[in-house]
Amino acid sequence: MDNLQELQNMWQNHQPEMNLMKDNQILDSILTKMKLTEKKVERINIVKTIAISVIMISMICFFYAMDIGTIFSWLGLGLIMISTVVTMVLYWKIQFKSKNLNHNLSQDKFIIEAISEMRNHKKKFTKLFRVFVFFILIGINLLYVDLLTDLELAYRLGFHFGISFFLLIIFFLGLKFREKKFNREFQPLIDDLESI
Amino acid sequence: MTDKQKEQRFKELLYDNKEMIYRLCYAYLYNKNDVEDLFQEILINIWNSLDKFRNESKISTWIYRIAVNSALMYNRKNLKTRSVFESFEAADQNKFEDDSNECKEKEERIQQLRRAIVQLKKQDSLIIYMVLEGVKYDEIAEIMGITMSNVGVKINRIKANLFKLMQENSNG
Repeated sequence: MDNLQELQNMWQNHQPEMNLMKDNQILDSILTKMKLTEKKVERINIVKTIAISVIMISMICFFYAMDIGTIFSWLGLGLIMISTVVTMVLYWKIQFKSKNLNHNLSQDKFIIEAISEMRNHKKKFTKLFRVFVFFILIGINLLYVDLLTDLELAYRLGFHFGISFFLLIIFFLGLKFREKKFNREFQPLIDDLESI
Repeated sequence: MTDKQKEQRFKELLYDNKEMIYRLCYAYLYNKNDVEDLFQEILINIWNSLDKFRNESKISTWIYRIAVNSALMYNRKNLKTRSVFESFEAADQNKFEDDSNECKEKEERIQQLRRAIVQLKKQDSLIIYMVLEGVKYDEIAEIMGITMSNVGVKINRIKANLFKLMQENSNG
């Protein structure tokens, strides 16, 4: 069977095993699938928003109830809250979705766009995460700056550096974990596309 | 385009091209569930891109382009190809039991062809699929974004590979 014409005839006359749904049902099923996907993403986002809101409100209540709020601590809390909310919004915006790619492009252009979008997603996330960590560190240090006024300067500085260093390690590990996840999810696809 | 018009247009496209899209999925993937999954993904991308179709190319070329790009983005990383293929063959064996000899032989030849296509590289399997579908070289060039002469060279190389694989597979 080494004749292309023969293969073409056989291929084109072959009826693939198809889903028995009618065209109307297929349309309904894909519209439902799209809606379900959107709803799922929406639900996840709502859960995340509620979780963060609860943490923020608890912190405010704690500060308020303990009467330990000073200008610096409120400033720190505000900074943490604003940077968290802004980061979350930006994070949702920069997420890579293959449905947002322009499938109308010819394959060579499509591949370039897909690779660049996936790489950009990683770059944007890393940048965003660094800025977020910077503001969180400032915020956390401001939170307890007034609580340590009784201690000597060297202890105070040691305390601030110690906690900042500890947090930096946690954030660094978080970033590495995220990178690993990216490499697992996207790198095989990028490698595949690049090999074309 | 209103929603009603869009739905109508989509149904027309589906009616005319369903088999062609299915054949692409079968040329590209082994597993039936994955075939259904990719089929749906292609339809979703066609639905999402429908407003962007500007009649600058033939509608069939436009659909091939979307189908081929969707297939490229379809993540095959979780497919355990060999074992899936074995189970796929086993399922087909059972199916043949009820068919006539002629049907059986035809189906076996199709499976032999599919087996060789899915063994090709990602892009090569998509190109040979279009050749088998009878898509013209200039359309393939437009879809892939390469020159006609390049298409010719690629197709000759892929064809040779395909026949070699078919030969190897039939020899066991």
